[in-house]
Amino acid sequence: MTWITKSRKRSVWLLLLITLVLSLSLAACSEHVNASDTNTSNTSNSNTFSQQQQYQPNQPTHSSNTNSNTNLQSTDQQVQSILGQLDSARNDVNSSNAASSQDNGQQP
Amino acid sequence: MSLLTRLGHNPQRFVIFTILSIVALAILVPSTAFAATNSTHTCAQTDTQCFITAGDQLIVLRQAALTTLSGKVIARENQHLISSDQSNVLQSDISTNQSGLAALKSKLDAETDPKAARQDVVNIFFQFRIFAVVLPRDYRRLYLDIAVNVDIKLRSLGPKVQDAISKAPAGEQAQLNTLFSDYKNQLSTAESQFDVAQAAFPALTPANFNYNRSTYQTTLSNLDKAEHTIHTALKQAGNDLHQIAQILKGK
Repeated sequence: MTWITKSRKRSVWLLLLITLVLSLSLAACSEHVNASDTNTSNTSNSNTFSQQQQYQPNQPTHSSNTNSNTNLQSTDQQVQSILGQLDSARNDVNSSNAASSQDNGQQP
Repeated sequence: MSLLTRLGHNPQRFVIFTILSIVALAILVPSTAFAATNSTHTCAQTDTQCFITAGDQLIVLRQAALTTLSGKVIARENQHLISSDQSNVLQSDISTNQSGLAALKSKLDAETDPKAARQDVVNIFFQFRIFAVVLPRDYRRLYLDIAVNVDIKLRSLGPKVQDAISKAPAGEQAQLNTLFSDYKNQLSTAESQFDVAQAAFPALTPANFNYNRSTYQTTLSNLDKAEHTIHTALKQAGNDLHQIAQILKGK
């Protein structure tokens, strides 16, 4: 076998090895991205509210003459945050709709 | 002479072989990466173990989805977006379905007759309808629970908003009162749909899905319309409140 043939053979093996490594890397990345997406959505849902912004249904509302506007600003922030959670719950409904077709899937 | 040696002698064949390899891998890698989510087994009629394996996989998917829902319910309760009573209703339904699936799995795993094993697998779909009925219904119930509490919260803010408006400069009173009036109207609109939405849940059952599909679909559609109206109204009320707060900012 000539030197050129050996060299080509080595090149083929090297190229196949690189292709295999790249493919496995891509597969690993796609699984990692899927997993991290799920984790991110779970943690973001649970951490959006700070303790001070949590909804307190039975908390009495009161106003004072001196700082009613300041109170309203903070209340507004709290409400906007709660409405963000409402959007998130709505998205969960939409996701459950999208997954509903799995009960129409092929049976073995 | 080996394939690689022959390819090494012919650069054109080598290039074609490399391109075809890459294309084949590009097709194969995604299909294997997502195989778990799209498994479509076909079992021989006499292959009991095949039915058991396939059924177990279907049950695992459903148990996982129910666990995810349970986690979300716990999170919403911890965020005080739903009450413990509201949480208990949902957790009870989740628990019932998880127990039912666990019992079915035990039955399936013990089957020795392929017909019985196949029927168990059919029952995963037919009796439980986790993805078609349970999860869509329970996520809607969770949404409605949160919406009801948001409405209570917004309604309770009325006196505070009224008080703040009364102290605003006279030139801004008209605009503020228009916003406040819309705020109250939007809450009334949302509240008018709560009973409509609540009334829909009892009809959203696997039995109705299986045997009375048109009633099921109509009920689900009515629930979706009600929840859409509620969502739009609450968001608009929140927008009104935000505008009021912005106008009063720094006053």
